[in-house]
Amino acid sequence: MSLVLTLRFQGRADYNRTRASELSTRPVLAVVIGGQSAEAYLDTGMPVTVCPPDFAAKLMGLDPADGLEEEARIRGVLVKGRIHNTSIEFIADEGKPMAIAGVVFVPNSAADVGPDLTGFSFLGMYECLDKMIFGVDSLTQVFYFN
Amino acid sequence: MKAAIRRKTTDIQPVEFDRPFSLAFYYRRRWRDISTGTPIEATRTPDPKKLAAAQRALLEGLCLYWTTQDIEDAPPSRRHKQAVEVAFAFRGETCFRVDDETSISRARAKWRRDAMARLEVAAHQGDESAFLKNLEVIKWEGRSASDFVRAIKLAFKAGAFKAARYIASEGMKYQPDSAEIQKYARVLNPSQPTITEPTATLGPQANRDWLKAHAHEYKGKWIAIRNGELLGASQSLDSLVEEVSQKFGVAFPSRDVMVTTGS
Repeated sequence: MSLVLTLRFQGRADYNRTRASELSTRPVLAVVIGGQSAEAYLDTGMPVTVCPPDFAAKLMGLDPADGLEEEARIRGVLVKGRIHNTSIEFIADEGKPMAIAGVVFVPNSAADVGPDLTGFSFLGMYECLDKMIFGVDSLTQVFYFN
Repeated sequence: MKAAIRRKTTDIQPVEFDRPFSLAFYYRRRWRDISTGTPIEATRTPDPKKLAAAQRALLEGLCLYWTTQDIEDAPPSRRHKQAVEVAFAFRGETCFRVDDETSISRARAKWRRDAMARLEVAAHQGDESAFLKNLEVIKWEGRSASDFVRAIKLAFKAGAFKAARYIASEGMKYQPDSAEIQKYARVLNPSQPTITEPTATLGPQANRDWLKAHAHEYKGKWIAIRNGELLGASQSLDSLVEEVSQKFGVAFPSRDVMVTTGS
């Protein structure tokens, strides 16, 4: 007996097409975070979306007074930073783009999160990926969302 | 000294621990994790922090454990076959097993009261599942605003963001006038509805094509591109934003100008 599942998505976007090699296994998506067009890793292992501090300070227009100053565990390490509300938009190559009211964590120091928090944000679960239905076709490197 | 410890019953059995860590090893070998209730037998290598926390908690006074086997005198055939709820009381350096119902119910009440302490242990250990398990047994009614704030902060330390939101929402139920809890509830639960309307973003495909061809030329630099055209590149994001703003009249944040890094 076979199971047939039908899922409807409102948009799809290519990923990993933004860099020279298509052999990379890290999905990189074009997104708009806090109104700023950027790139971000899709990372279901991240508890929350994490943005580089310089990117957040210079481009996202976040008011420190609106955020929560906290110490949070990111990738198993306690990191000091701020938690903010902001919009996260998924750009569609086909279909409709989608914007959600999300939550981001901005570390005081990018190095506290890891050497790869340079320029790219990490799209994590809380109030971002857990607000949507998404699918990843790793063969064709396409991200579907709804 | 706790009242429960003063109570003497005939079925109190002294259990001596002559070395500081022997208690912890005893704990590790036979008991359940004080913070989670999970069987310790699963832990092959003792975690020094966990052992120290257990020892500290034991020395605070009367504690409650669910043993997966009877202690000390139980015949081997009984071991691992039954879960026994027992309490332990301390008088000085001596630990007593307490089996009477009053002591056990007092210990049970203490166990519940100490839920915040167990949250703290789980948060500092970065043990999200232990944190969530302990969170489930907490009764929030009657707790102070500072308790809610403390628990939310601990949830972040455990990496439990969803739990932080849950605590904030419970805080709004029982301490709705607290400005601090209101702020947590607002930030952790964005009120705007999910927007699904199309938004215009200039040249995503052209930007991708450009990055595919040229990103490696700007390794380690911030770059700004619009509709497949490079607007600027710099080691510093500040100078890139200044340059692009002045040259092209771009106001940031901008959905049309992608800012990223080369690789």
